[in-house]
Amino acid sequence: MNDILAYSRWCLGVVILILAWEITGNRGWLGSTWPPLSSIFDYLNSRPNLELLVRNAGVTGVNAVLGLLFGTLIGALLAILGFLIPRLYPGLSTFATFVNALPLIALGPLLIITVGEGATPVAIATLSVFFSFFVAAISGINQTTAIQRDVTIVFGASRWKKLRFVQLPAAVPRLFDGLKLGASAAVLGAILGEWFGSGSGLGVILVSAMQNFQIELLWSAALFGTLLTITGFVCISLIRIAFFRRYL
Amino acid sequence: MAEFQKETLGSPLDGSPPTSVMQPFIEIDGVSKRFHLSRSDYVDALVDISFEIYRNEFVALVGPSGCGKSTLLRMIAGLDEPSDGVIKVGDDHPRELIAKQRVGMAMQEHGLMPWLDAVGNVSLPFRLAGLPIDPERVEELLELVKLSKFSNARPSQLSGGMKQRLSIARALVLQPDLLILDEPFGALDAVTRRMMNQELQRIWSRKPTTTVLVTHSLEEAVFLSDRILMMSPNPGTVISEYPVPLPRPRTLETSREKDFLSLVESVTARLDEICATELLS
Repeated sequence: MNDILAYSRWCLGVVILILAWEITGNRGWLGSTWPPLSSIFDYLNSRPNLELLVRNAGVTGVNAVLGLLFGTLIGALLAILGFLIPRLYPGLSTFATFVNALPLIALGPLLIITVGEGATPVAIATLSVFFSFFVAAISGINQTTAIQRDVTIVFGASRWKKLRFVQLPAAVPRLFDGLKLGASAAVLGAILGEWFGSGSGLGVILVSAMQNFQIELLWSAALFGTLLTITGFVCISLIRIAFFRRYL
Repeated sequence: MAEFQKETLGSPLDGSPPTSVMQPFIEIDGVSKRFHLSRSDYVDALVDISFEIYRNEFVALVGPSGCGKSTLLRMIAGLDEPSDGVIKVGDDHPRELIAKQRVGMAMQEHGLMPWLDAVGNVSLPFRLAGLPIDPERVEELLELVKLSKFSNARPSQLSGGMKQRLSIARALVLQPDLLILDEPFGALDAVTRRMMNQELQRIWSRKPTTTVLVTHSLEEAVFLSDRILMMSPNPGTVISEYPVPLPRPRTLETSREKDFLSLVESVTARLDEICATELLS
């Protein structure tokens, strides 16, 4: 019953948001650059327009997924390394913080000339994902209680066995939180990377629509970016639910 | 080592004791523990403690809070190092015994893994030791602690007493040479606690294992152990020793008998005395 109530509240919120957007655009309260939602849907109603956006959203989606994958892997590897070799941890942590502190926008041109235009979106997506996953993994690995750790030591576990059978399973909820954060960061990173002069992707559309004052296209691209993030979020939530049903 | 053997061979119990009981297993020699609070400030938690625990003997460490009994237990378990002195368990450093996976431990907080069911938790020591899981042994242990029906239950689905029984099953599954118990029933209500003591006594009597128990309950200490070591604080040291000559198996009836009650009474009187001096000083 509570679920239904929460769900209907959620729907009501979405409806209010859509209505507010529509009315604001229709009345022109925020100027000509804020179109009503219906005109964006009108724009998308034409097959070539829709195809253009779907194709480029697909490119961004692939970039984001690759970035999420690489970023997660790197973050996880660094966290595991930091756990297995405790001496390395302070250095790794400083390194990760340092990389995260670099403004990605400054890294863009650097990446273009090093890894090339094609790989820049994936590289930036990777960089934006790895830190949040690294932090989530480190905090997850340390989720066990002192007693659980003592018991593990007394049973004579090696560091690896400790990680494999105690610390990693204990980290799972945090890892999924890290993935969720990573999903939105990956889309953002991919778009930013495409912005710097990739051949295709939502980032490219955003830049060209902005420069050519194609308001509907600009908003459509933003909408598709949002849809990508939501899709990623929903996918990870579903995997999480399936995982917890199966193992927890 | 030679000297050590001479001493024990010369003990008056040379006649026909249960040989398993009389072999020294844990040797604690001049052990001290100093905790540094700051650069110049420190506290001596334990000072110059020496005693022996025999193979398959059940020893209870009792004493007022802060007398360092848990610290001593942690050092015997290999979780902490003495600042001075030597602890040997079966001729090894405690950490070597850990590395051989010969130690079992159950604490006041059960420390069970919430993502594993009862079978998974009892199998965990096999996994951590890198040994193949012996499902029959796991089954046997669950039966021993009367949790066979709950083999697929997770810790969150079990009562406090069940969780403690499960953590004892986990401690025993690899047939340890040394069992470490730190207030294993401390969080349970009085009635459950008496039941658990009876259960632990039954389980232990089936296969006696060298056991060191830390407890606040003197009834529990008398009921379970072969010998009680009483400690006093500031600085922590062993002050008296009480053999517990009550025959096994002990039952709830035992705990109402005169011998039992008078021993509890004299141990309690000693503890009260220590606490009183402590308060006056």
